[in-house]
Amino acid sequence: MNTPQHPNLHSSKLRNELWLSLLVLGVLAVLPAFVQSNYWLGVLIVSMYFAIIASGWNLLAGYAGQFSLAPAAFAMLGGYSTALFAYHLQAPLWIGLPMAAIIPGLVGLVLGRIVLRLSGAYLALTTLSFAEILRLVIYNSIEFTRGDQGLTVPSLLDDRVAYYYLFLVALALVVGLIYWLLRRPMGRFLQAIRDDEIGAASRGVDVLRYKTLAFLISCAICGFAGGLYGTFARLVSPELGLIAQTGLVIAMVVIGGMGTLVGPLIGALLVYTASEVLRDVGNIQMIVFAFLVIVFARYFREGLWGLLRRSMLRRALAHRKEA
Amino acid sequence: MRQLRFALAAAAVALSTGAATALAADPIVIGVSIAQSPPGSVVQGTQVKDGIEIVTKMINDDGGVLGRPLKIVYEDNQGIPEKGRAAAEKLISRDKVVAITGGHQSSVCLAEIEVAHRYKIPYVNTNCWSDDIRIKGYPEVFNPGNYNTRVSSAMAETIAALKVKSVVAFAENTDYGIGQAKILGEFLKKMAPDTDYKYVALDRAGKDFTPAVLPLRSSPPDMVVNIMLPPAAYILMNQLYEQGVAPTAKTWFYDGAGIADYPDFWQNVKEAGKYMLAFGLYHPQMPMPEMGLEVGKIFQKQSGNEPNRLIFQAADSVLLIARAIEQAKSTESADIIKALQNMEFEGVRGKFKFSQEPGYTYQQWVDIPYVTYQLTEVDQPLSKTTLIQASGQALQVDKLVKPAE
Repeated sequence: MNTPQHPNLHSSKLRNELWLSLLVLGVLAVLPAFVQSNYWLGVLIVSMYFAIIASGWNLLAGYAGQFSLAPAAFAMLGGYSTALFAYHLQAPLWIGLPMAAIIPGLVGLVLGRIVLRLSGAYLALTTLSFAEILRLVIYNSIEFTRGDQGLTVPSLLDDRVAYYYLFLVALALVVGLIYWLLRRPMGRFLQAIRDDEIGAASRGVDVLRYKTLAFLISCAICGFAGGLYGTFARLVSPELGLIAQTGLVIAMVVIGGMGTLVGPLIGALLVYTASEVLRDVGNIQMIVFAFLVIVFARYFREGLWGLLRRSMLRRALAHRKEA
Repeated sequence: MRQLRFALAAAAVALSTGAATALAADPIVIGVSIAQSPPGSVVQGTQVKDGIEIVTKMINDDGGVLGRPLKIVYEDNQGIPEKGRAAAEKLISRDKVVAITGGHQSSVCLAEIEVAHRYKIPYVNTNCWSDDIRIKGYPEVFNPGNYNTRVSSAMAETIAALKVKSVVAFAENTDYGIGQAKILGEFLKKMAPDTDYKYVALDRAGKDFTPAVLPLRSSPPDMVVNIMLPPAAYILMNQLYEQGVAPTAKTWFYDGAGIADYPDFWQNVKEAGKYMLAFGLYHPQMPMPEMGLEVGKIFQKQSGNEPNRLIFQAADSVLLIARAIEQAKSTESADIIKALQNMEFEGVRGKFKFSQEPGYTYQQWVDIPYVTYQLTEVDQPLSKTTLIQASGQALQVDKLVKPAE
């Protein structure tokens, strides 16, 4: 199929972002050689958990323009899928972990068919309602989910460094998957839908189908992150799905760079590490992140990665002029 | 040359002495994870902190532990399990604490004990009532505080003594609320088989319980039991009172959540709190060791308020860790755990040894003292309430009063 080149998905731009993503992953890969503290390794592991969710949400919001407010809820659903299989059926993790992606993916498919006919604020509000209903159902189903006590999850590995690399591999796979999707016609269709839904439909793009597909994949990625996180924390609780967690994910993507491959990685690592450094100041950190989101959304639409790219371009142009 | 050698030797001696002194004065760090911001109970977190501060100062003024001062590092868990997990992780990995304590919310404790168990660090549970914390059987977890089964059995005993025919319990929709209500039902089957018992689950975030309260107007039970925490408990009490359901000449109102000693109790319930029967873990008239009385006095002097159960439970938590370190003559986790398992401890609330019986009594102070008392006036301080039962003192239901018809 002869697909048109979309200006926002120029293959060289995407390739550059992939290289930068690989650079970030490479830096993460060598970090345990310098970071021996279990605590900081734990912080980086949770950062990577958020990076996976942020990447999943970015596929939907950044590339397809569908603003869902349920990424944390799907991560919670994934965590509970793994936990419930282990708790009620004593299923091993090699069954429970795939379920963390499959169940949220299927729920996302059904929900997507219903909500993706909506757009803008209506879509955001519907997904927000779904997220809150899902959290309350889990919270109140005490017999089944143990409610606010949370569910214990068996651990996958005993070693912290091994866990670190497991999350790193998972993050690399997610980045690879998203890159692969964006390189395919689907990637172009999604961006066409984001930029002009009516225009895309008039050119023969099956809008609802591709939006649903993006929603399904995004939900599955978020769910998988939740399942993996559950085995690390050994506990999943309804608080995983709090709207504040979704706020954190959105902050990560907006600050890092929405609609870019590397943005969610940079954003997640920076925001979560910063939130841990600012632990002692309490909830003020959320105000700081909210303020940063407003500033970035207003003045730096491409986030930190966009700022970096523009400064590199300026430097290259100046260098060329001098030459 | 000889002078230089002498000077070097003197400097070496001075430096090594200084180093040894510094080493001896190195503080022993204890981690405390409490709720210091919402949605957790900041009221409880503050009370735990107050108790810990008092006993830590007492220990340090007395020369510390093994000649070293105690240092407390606080972490805010916001009452969220995930925050608790991260807090425990930070306290152990970054702050290098010898033990963790302060827990006052079961869901958070359950998350924290997983971390303590993984790192093999002693965890002294201050006020998490869930039986599950004990049932897990983690050797690192010690429970000098209250537990659900204890509350339910004590309440069932009182209900049986009052010979009531029908009881309706309002339980919050949490594992604590539902769990407590169910255990109470099981005990009532044994102790008061003729009593008709049912429980109603309510949303702890609810703002209006009229639909649950109104049906009781036409056929009021002999007793309404509260298994909800504030602020939902206050809303429920006010609505029961306004609808004329409880407390009345016919219907007792019995609190099983220990809310009567909350600092904001009276300002939120007023008349609705009068005649309330309460399960508690502290009463000024209950027998207490000398050290407990001392802690109570210091708290009263500092705050101008009467102490409550959490002050003593928190004080005992730190004291327990300090005594275990002294007994083990070491700050190694394994040594502290071994000491805690084997020692007989006399704290601010009494003398006990941890049970090694598996199940809900594992590493628990099984016979933790409790009291039953009645509030008979609005704004009544705890010391003026009518004590109905305490440790070593049988229930005296004849002391109870009801509102006039």
